[in-house]
Amino acid sequence: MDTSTLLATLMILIAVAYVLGRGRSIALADTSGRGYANLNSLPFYYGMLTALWCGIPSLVLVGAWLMFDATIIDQLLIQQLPDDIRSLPAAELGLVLNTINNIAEGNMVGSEPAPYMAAAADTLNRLRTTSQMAMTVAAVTCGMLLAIFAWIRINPAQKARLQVETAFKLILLACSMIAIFTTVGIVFSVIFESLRFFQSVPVFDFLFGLHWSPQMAIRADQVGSSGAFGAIPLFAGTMLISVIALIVAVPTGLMAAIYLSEYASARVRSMVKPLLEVLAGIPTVVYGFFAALTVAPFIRDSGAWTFEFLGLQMAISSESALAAGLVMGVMIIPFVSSLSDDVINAVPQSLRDGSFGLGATQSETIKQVVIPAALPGIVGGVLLAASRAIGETMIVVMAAGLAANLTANPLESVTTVTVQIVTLLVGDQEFDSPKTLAAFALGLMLFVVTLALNYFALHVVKKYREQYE
Amino acid sequence: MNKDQEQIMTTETSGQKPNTIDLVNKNLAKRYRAEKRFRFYGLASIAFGVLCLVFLFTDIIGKGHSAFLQTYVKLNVDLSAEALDISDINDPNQLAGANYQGVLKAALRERFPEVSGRRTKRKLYGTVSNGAGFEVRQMVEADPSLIGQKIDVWVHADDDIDTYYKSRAADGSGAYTGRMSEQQIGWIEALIADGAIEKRFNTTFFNAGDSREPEQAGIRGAIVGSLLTLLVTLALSFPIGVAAAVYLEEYAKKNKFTEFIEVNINNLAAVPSIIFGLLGLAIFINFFEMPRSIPLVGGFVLTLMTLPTIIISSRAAIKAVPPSIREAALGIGASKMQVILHHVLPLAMPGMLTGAIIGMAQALGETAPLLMIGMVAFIVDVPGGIADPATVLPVQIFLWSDSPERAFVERTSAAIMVLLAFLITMNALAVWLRKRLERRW
Amino acid sequence: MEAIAEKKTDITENREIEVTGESVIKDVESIETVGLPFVDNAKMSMRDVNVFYGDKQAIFNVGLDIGKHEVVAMIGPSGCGKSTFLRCLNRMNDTIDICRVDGSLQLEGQDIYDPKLDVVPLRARVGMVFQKPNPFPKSIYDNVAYGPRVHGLVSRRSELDEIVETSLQKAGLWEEVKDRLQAPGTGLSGGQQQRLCIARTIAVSPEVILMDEPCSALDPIATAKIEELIAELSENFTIAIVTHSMQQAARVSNRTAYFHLGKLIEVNDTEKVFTNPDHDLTEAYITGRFG
Repeated sequence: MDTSTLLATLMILIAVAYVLGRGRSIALADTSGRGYANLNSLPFYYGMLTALWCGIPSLVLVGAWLMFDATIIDQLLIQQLPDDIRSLPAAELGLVLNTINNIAEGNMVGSEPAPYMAAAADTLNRLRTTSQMAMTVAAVTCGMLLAIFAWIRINPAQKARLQVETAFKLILLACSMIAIFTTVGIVFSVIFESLRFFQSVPVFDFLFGLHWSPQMAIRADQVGSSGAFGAIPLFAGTMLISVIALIVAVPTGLMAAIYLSEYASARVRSMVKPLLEVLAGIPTVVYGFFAALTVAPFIRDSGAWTFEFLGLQMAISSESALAAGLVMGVMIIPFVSSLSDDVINAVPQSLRDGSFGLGATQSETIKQVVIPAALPGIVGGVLLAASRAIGETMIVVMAAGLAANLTANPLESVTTVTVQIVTLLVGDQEFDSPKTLAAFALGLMLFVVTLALNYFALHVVKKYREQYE
Repeated sequence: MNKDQEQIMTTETSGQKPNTIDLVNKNLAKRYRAEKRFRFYGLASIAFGVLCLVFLFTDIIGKGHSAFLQTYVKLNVDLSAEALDISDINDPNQLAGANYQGVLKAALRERFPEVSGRRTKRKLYGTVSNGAGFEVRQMVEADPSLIGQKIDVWVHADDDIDTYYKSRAADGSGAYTGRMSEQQIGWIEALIADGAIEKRFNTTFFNAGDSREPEQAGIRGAIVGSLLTLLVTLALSFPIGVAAAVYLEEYAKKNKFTEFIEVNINNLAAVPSIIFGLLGLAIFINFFEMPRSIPLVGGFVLTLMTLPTIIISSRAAIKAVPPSIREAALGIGASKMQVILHHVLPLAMPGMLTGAIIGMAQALGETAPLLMIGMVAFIVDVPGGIADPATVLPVQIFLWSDSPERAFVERTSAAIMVLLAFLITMNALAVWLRKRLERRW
Repeated sequence: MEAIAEKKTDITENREIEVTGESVIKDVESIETVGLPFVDNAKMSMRDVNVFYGDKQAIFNVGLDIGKHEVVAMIGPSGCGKSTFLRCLNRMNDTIDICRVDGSLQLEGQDIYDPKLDVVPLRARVGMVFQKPNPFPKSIYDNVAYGPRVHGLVSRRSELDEIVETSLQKAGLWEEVKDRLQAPGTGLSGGQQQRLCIARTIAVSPEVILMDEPCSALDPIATAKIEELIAELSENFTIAIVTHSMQQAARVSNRTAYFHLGKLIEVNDTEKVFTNPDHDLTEAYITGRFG
């Protein structure tokens, strides 16, 4: 039985368990002749209880099985392989396993595989079938046995409702803890691989090195080609593009928010706000396309024209930091404006009244009372925007370059942390070359920096809100 | 009574504080100029944002609208059995393997008899798409009685010709020639003069999977991949998100643990999406050895990414249900679970659905994490299930935008138009749902 | 005293008030203001003022003068429109979109609601103190200096220092805060905050100060201080104060105006209003039969 059929079978089983459990409770209640009154809980709860006993353990079993069976099968398979193959280094062994996998799935038409591989492919197929069958049997048996167990235990005095409600609450709790697991998963996945990376490249060289050229590391056997993993040019490039983006987005977003919340009529607001929000809803890959194919050539050409006019010998890279930064800025405008809008609206009207009551004009009130009062919230919003800019990927992948230049000139091409992560990880990768692992080290840096920014920003905004609540 | 008041009104002589008001009036003009300037900055900011939006859309539509048409070339093809190199016209195997490309080449040679030399001939054959043989095959398989006839057939033009013809003004000027030689242009102009070239609605674009040849590339594979991925995402993130929101709003006590969960959720909402891609790569692909490039794993990753959004909006929806309703139900003896299932969830559902749609729109537009888990592979086939290798629409856009062929630029833009149409529809649906179903308490 | 129940108190449809026991009044619409609403040397004079919030009318045909250097108290039950009326006097109602004001309101013969009139200098002349203390989240010094700064009243720092000091002195706050002028204004106690707001208002040297229940958020001791302050301020300023407390009105004001459901019922010398009111409604209110 394949997995989806198994899941469907289990669903039917659960439904049957519900009906049976409910039926038994009603039958027990009726024999007493006083209707449901002698039941501790409604029949629904007895049915649910039986269904839960039937469903949860078997579903958990299936989940766990699916998670681990690939690993276990691989281990079993490796033991079947000839000794000389088994003693190969991990990377080559992985390749062999891959080939066997392809043979087993019938994807290797043409060349005749080595006999041991063909044998291993057969073994693999056999193991897989066995595993699938074992899982089916185990899950169905488990579900049925536990359902019967729960069904037998049903009696009118049983506190079914309390048990079901507790289970309900625990399931909800488990769901809300997924957020924690995700964070833990992120931390572990990046830290684990980063630590492996730092075994081959010292932390200090990574954090403070001025030269980045991971491509050199592909040929590890080459003399003196440890690769250059100095991440400073990436950090600088990320900073440069983010700063350009913020220079565009913060004043524009803030002023737009001020105009919309303090000046615009309700009608204008209801028309303009959704328009600005459309800007936020456009996928980043679209911005990337726009930056790479429209903005960057425009900047290059108009820049070339200007320099020629001024008689300067300068060239603008077609992958300039400026193009990526500008477009990213436009993308962040609605982000800044909606966050600022929130904090500006949280400033109590009484403060505005106080200022108007003294005869201040609207702009004086805004500049000298509303903005200073909203400043913590605005700063928080800007920090969130910065974290967004730093972590933005597609725009820079498409519009910024790969050249790790250490420069502050926005007309030159720079690369960023996210660009390098994508470049290093897209395509085939081996999980033991520093080149691949470097991406995780960069991911760790990115995660740490954005987490710090977010945590700090959210804290500031929260404190700010409490102030006016 | 009011009449005699007018005499009573005495304008106060400037005895007491003449200073203040005079000073105020002196500065007034300057202050109003500042006011105007400030207003102008605000207005300019909004105008800038809106202009960017307009410019972006105009640019994309301007580049992409032409992709909805495809250039076809008419050739007079000899479908005789000898030309097709088959002996038995009732044998499907022979029909499938017949030399369709050959008859097309023959037709081109016949149309331009003056062409000689291998390289020139190869150029000539490049006038039609190299998938054109397949088109003829489909035609013949659908109607075997065509065999033996010599008929006019419309087939896809090559992308260079497509680009040339689309950019060409009616009088033949302004055309983008790109890699084309004078000779090729001559052939095309001759065909145009014959009326043997025309533009038709580009069905390939909507029906085909990816291809290296722009004229054969379509977005169906990517759209199906996106839908499958979204399906997995929705099926996981909505129930889990709602459950988490219910726990946090209805059950969780205010303590360190709850606060820790909340901090986690809020932070995850702002973690860059590419980090989720790293998570997916390290956990799902590397640790659990799930296959690359499949919508299932893509759905897992996007679920983790959209969960915070859905939890946050669901919590807001649950919060908006007034406590009086809970108290009313609790007051007549309903249990907490009953209160939630019978009252809170139904009342909060519109808000939660709105949040889910917005989360799905976010997931639909997401690219970076899917690159990490290998959904960036070149996949021609339209995926048939959540475990088939697939790509998604934004990734398809990314892949095409990297292609050097000019014809891919318009197809990329057209794919963007399709993606934006989906997103706008989803967001409009969310707005409509909110307006239609949301209760005001 | 018999318990009196009001039946209909919606301010928009005050056609009829039934008061069980003794019938005080039949139709508020027909009320003419009794007493002495008008004075000889009026600083501000209002005639036939009607105020609407959207379709709802909040103020009906109110006519009232505020004399020079006089303290006029406005009292009345909740929702009677006294605060609304006060906010008309320096056009603070402009900040509410749906609010519309009819009639003639004049400051020294100048129409306040003249479309050509600029509210900025108007508010410099007619300052306002609000119900809840609303110091800006700035230092004490900057709070007081705010008005002079935005209006450009001073050109030198020393002048500004002087204004801040005298304003705080007039508001009776100087001794308490002179050592911590740079501390945030929001850190003061409620009573101090309100006096800071008063100092902020008088720093602009307005001619009229409007006070909208300035003591309602304060404890009795702070209230006493503010009341003392009002008495002192009346030497130099014209003051209109809305208050919920009749005792306060009696203590601080020269004249008292009684509002009821958007109508001005009676205006008289304070002493007369609280000892021998002309109108039955006023009497019913001050004797505590409703409010």
